[in-house]
Amino acid sequence: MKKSQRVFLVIFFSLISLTMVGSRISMAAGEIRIGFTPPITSHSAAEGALQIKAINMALKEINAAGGVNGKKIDLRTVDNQSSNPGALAAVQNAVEQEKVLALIGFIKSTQVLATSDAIKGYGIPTIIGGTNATLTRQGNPWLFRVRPDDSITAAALVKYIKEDTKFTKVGILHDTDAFGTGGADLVEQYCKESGLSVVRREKFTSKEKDYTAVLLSLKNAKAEIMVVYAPNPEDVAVIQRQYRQLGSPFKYLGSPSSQMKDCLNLSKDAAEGLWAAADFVPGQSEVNNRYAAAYKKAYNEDYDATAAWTYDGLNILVAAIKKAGENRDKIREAILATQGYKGVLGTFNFTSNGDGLHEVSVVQIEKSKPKLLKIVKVSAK
Amino acid sequence: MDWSTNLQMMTAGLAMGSIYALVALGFVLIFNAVNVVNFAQGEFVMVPAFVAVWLMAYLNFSFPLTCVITVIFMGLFGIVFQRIAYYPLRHRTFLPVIISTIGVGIFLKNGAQLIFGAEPLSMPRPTSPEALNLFGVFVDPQYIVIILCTLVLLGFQYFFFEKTKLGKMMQATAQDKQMARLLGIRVATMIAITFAYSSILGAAAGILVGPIFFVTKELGGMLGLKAFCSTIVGGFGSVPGAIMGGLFLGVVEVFAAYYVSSAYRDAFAFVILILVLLIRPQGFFGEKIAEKA
Repeated sequence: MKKSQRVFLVIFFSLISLTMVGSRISMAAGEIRIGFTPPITSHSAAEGALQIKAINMALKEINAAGGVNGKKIDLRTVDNQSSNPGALAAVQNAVEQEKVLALIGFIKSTQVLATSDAIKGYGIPTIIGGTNATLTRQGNPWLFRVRPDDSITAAALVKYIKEDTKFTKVGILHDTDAFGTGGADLVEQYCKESGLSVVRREKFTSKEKDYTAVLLSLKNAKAEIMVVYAPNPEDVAVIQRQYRQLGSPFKYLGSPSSQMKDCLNLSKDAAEGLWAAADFVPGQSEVNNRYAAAYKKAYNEDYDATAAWTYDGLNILVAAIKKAGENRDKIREAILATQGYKGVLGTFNFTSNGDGLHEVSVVQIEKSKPKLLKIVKVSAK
Repeated sequence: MDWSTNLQMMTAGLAMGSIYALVALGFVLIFNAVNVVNFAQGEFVMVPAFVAVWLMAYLNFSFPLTCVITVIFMGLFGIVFQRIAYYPLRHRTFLPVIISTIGVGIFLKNGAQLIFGAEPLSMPRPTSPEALNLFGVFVDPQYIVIILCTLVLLGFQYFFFEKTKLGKMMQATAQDKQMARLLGIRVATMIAITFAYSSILGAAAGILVGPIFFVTKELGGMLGLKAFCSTIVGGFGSVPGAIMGGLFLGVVEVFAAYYVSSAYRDAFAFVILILVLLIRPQGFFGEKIAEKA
């Protein structure tokens, strides 16, 4: 062996051992590792970047306030590659390589489903943002949802019609995809349960351009209010315009897409005065305002509503660790015991199946911005 | 059923049908000229819609100026398209040409997304967004503009093909290239002009639907398919057939969505297509010949 080679090997091995010592040292210094698995590459990368910004807000605040029981939070971010296999690999990597205590997981319901078994197998507390109602009802005790699920939105819409308007004849217009059909099924079911009559239910396929027939059908069925359940803001914008052009023959109450920026940018004046559900409204609470201001200061832009769950999620998780210590079973119990926690998205009250948020805001569009009418609380089902 | 509902749906149906008819005409003209179905015809609507939005919303051009520039642009676009997708393959069978039009279509769609982004754009409306109230019937003024513009274009087209020398030369080329060449007509030029004209029809359709549809890269997809259905229903290769087929399809869709099922609205066009192929394969206006001689 040449001398230069030997020198190289010595340096190489000493570097490796140094890194190992290094990681020991960081452990010894007393840090709590939490895994975070956003999409960093591929098609959801833009979303992932916003999630990272939001969670870093919480991380900075927690560590600046002294961390948890004297230990700093060490957030280990692992890319889920915007795919289901990537999500599974990210969970495995975070748990086995990074040895994290708990996880902040996924906003995509399909990624939660793909990793649910692994999470259950590891028995690791995981905060999720996916809104498919069934996620927390499949016997996995380790999933904790920090956004209102789809069934809560539907229930809140019906509750609002029942309690805050005098309307009894409901028309439903929905997309034929899984989100639209699922939501419309729930609206119809809840209407029946609360004594409202669904006079007509009309459907359309995504990217439909002419809604004259379906809107007239609802009008002639004497609907007093129309519930629009659809995922795509650009479809909803066309509906809003054509609804206006038919002379607004009934009231309009939409699912969250009806008040999203993408939709309001397209429908403009046509959306004025319409009602819609929203996960939450910027400025609806003090916590929310504080977050908005801090975010603006940190990044010089408005915060993203669909990424804010990572902020609330990390805060709730850390609060639980503070109470329970570094024991996963006890952390789980502490999260489930979280009641009345005021976050950016609303007031969290966890139920035994791990759902934290049971309220939806009903908003009215004013000057192309959603304005809060009422926060509708739905009793946990 | 009250008449105002039916009248309202009739207007919507005729407006949609007019757009189908314009795109279908583009199909037929190119098919007659070169015996090939141009599967990028839908993109001939998407491209000018993007160009018009860009001119109006970002460069603040006035509406008439935008129309003129878009039409000129699409005329050139048609010639370039012809040069790239058809001309090099003109001595081959129809199959490579069809594949090449599909390829250009994909290229255009993704190119549009690359340049203009995935978010739908909204084209400024030349007409008021408020509906016209005609004795209790609410009609989008843009629908009326669409129907009127289509009528004017059809009138112009009739005049052009029947009364002008250039139109007659194009007709002769479509009917028999060999004969046309013998008579001293520059066949290649005529074909290029046909492509240009066909994409100008697309420009008209794009500018007309842009304000009510929002402009995305998918704008042309369903339109192209429905227009293709229209040409088959009307009789493939027949100009009046394409127009009547388009209007028929537009109206039937709206009424079927109302009276039968809104969920299967898009399916009706294709059910009609299958029925026509089974019962009257030559279409409403088609000649009963299996293949062009």
